[in-house]
Amino acid sequence: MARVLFEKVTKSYGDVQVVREFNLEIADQEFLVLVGPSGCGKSTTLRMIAGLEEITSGDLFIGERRVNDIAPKDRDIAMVFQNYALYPHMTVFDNMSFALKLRRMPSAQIKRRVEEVAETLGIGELLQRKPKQLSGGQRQRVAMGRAIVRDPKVFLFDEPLSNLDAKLRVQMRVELSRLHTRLKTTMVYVTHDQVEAMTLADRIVVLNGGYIQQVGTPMELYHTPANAFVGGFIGSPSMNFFSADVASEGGRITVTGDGYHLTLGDESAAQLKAHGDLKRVMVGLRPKDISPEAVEDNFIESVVDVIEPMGGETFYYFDVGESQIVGRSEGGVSASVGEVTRFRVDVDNIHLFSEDGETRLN
Amino acid sequence: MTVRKQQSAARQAVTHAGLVMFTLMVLYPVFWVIAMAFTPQQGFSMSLLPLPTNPTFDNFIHVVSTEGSDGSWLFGRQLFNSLVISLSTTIVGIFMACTAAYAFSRFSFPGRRAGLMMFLVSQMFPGTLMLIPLYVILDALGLLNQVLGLILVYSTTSIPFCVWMLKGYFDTIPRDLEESAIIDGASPFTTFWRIILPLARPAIAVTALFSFMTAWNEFILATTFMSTETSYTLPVTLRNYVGEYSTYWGYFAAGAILVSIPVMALFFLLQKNLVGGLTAGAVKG
Repeated sequence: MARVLFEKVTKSYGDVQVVREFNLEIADQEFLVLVGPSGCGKSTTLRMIAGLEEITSGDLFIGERRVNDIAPKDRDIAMVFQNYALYPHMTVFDNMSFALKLRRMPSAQIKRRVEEVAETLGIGELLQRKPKQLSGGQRQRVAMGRAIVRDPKVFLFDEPLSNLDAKLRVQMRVELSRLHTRLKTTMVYVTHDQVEAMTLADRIVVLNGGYIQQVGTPMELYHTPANAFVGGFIGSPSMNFFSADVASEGGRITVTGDGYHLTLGDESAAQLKAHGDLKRVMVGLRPKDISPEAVEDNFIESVVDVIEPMGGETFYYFDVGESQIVGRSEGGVSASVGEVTRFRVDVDNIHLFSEDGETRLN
Repeated sequence: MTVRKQQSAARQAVTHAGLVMFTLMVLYPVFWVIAMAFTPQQGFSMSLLPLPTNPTFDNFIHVVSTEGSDGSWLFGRQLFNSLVISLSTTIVGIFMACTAAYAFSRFSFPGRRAGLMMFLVSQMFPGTLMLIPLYVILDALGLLNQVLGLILVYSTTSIPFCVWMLKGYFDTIPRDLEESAIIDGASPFTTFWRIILPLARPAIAVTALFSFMTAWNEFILATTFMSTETSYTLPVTLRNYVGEYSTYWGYFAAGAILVSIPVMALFFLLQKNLVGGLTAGAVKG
């Protein structure tokens, strides 16, 4: 059993609070991703699990044991660092066996274990090389191998793929997924890349300014973001936001503004009503729900600024009020730059937030 | 294209002419010393070309075989003094400087900044300023005329510089490596000994060379604290060839060459460690 439990954990440096009132239970064998922009406290949280940062207040449990005052080496965790942190003067074999040697494991056993792990990671041939003789991807594998040989209760990953090129990153992401399926160990993974978060996680924790914004499965976060921050952070390209007036027309609720007119579905309307008589809201729409099509209701009309044809899909950039909006269509280009174009809005997928973006309304 | 080629050829010629000139300027006095060393004591005369007349090893033989007033082998004794003092200073200096520099680099503790500043300030005073206080202290400790006395004095004067130099190097070693070692289960000492020190080899080599040379070449403190010829170090002996009424340039030059051999040997020994890029591959650059 290797769950990780945070109870009211906070971390401060002097007067600056970096992590505030962090409550979270990471289940045994779960792949949990902490995601957020720079400085949101995600790495600090990970380093508190590792024991590299002291906990200012609150309790942290690994398994059933409170680990606040337990040294990193006794926590039975392994960590993969963003920049690999391989010991440059040691060979790959020595790097991978360092921890085992410190535990005084018999050398025959160490050799067997290291070779076994190296083989599964495809670095069996590299055991006698020094880190500087390896490519970025190979170093990353060695760093992971070094963690795996220890057979820890919890794996911690601190942005492990951010130094790799795009292609290798995708490849390693898939391997990480496989690794988790095979090892069945609790993994906590920090990244600022929402694609990594979406593809790897069983559950995602979105952090901002030291606060948890939302915890949920990737699909929960994508379909029902708790606030505009989560909505904007999860999904690529990001969600579009603009302010709109709320009005009631013939028993239906509409959100309108300069160049758009959207009639809410029954469900959204009812949920919006439950929040009282609001005059203005923040509308969130994903690009996939805005596509060029001449319809009579539920549309946005604007002059297209930029068109980005990607082959399989096309993105359209235009302004609504002060906000820049991105729309999307399947396949080829179906609008022209500089022309007034009407975009159909899929109101079933509309996200409504309070005007400050802090609360979800539907 | 050709004009550019001509220009670069001309520029190269000028650069090389400059380099050759500076090399000669540096080497000329060395040639003179070599010429003096191989010229018989009375046969030396100033000439533009530093070439020995009637080359001979007599000067070297005389310097090496000098006997003390009690008939003992004086040069051997003084060489031994110099080696013991310099090597001990190096070992003590490196040990103290490494541990202190690591602490200054990695730990935060009260007095850290003040300590570093004091080390720096201590380097601003000329060595002679401390001559009298040091003399009084050594006298009180009964360490005048003792090898140990000089070792202590040299160590204390070289450590501050060594600490600064090593601290600067430790600062460049990524902290991730230590954190990684901590998670791997290494104690602070194991981390220092097995991860940090091997990586700091270039800096340690330079520092060792510096400590050794400081002690090996030092004259003023040695001549003040050491008053019997059996306790002299080699620089003091060398100085004695340049007397008030007569100067033995041949012995002096031969001695100077002999004295520089251990330093050169140490340099070649440490040379392979004076390479950068030891931390290459540790973290993504």
